[in-house]
Amino acid sequence: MEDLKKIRIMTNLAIYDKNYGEEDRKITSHYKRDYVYKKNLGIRIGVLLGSAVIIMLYYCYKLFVIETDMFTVFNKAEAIKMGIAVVVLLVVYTIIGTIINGERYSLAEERCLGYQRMLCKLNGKKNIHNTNEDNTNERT
Amino acid sequence: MGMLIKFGRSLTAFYKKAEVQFNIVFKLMAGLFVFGRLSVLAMGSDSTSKTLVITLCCAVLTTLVSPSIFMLLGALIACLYLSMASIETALVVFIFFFLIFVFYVRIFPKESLVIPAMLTAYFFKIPYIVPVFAALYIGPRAIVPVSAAVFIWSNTYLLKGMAEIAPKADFTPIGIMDSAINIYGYLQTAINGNGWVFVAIVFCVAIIAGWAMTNVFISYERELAIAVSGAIIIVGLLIVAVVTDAQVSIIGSILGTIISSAIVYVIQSMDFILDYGTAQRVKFQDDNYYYYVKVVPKINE
Repeated sequence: MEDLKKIRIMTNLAIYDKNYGEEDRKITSHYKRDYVYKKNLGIRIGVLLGSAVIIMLYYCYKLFVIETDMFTVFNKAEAIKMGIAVVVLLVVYTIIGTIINGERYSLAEERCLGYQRMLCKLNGKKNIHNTNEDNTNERT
Repeated sequence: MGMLIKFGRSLTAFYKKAEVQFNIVFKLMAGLFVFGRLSVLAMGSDSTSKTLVITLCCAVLTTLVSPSIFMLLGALIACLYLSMASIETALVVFIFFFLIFVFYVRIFPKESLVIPAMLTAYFFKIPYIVPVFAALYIGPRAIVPVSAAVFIWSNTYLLKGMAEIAPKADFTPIGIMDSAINIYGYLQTAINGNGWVFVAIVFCVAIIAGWAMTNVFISYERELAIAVSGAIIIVGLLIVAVVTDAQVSIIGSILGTIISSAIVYVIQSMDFILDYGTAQRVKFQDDNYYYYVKVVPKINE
């Protein structure tokens, strides 16, 4: 029977694998910058689509409900105003996305590091940079 | 408290014996409930068998998909049912759900589950449970979904009026703009007429106050947070009922808040059940042995 310390380590490794392993590996397979950029790109595309819908509804309201003249609605000043609003929205959501996805990546990275440290302890290595040998502990 | 913890432990042990099966059953029941309630929106449909088939199929799908896909499916089914009565109404609702998805659900997928949770709580006449629960476990990120749920619940009755203004039988692509203007005119008077905004503000203040209390380093901060959130909801709704024209039942609010606070107190006493790290079963092997390990963390009573 293996010693209890080894069983405890293997149990903790298995718990991590079951609950976070797959998701964390997907996240940390990218660099942090790439992961945040990829997630923010999706957010920006969504925000752009949403903004386009809101702007379309706004102009429909101006043209058909208030019955404003078309040349008053579609002019340079209005276009600049809408452009600024969209840019501000994009900036705000980029900041929110950067904070949230950055946090998500950092937590995943921290957990992965903890996992590597436990693996080192299990394999009797002093630090995580010497983990080139095969791990004898297979998890089902 | 000790009895609650013992009861919670036995419940967890019972649940963990067949965790996968229990999860499937719970998801199926949740799917049946949500899509069954959504079938009420099928105002223009004479075929109950059609709505029953859709409900059953969607309930089965609920067991297989993630929470955000479940919410997307719910929104699409709601629009499908509405389109049976009025295409324009379905389009308005679709645009509303699309904007919520793009501006909130995509970025906060887990927090957006508060919306169906709050709508379910409204159905069972205890909507106050969600803000009190969110104050303990979610924090200020629950403000947007709670406000959205209050708006949706308070204004669902408008859908019937909108469908009557623009019925499916009268739909033409050219006339869509006229119908949209009529719907806008109807919504403008109807939405301004009720006090859902004040109710949403009360819930948001309760969430922030309760969350702030959980971050203070005192004894029994969680119990105090529940008490503070509950008190703010009761006082806030009393003020809203007296000062504004919002239709708020004073006795219902007081009783509902007390019951909701009691339920959240019981949940937080046993909240290790919600913690994934509690009472798990894991399996692994090495060269010599297979290990089947049951992990039960200690509770500090």
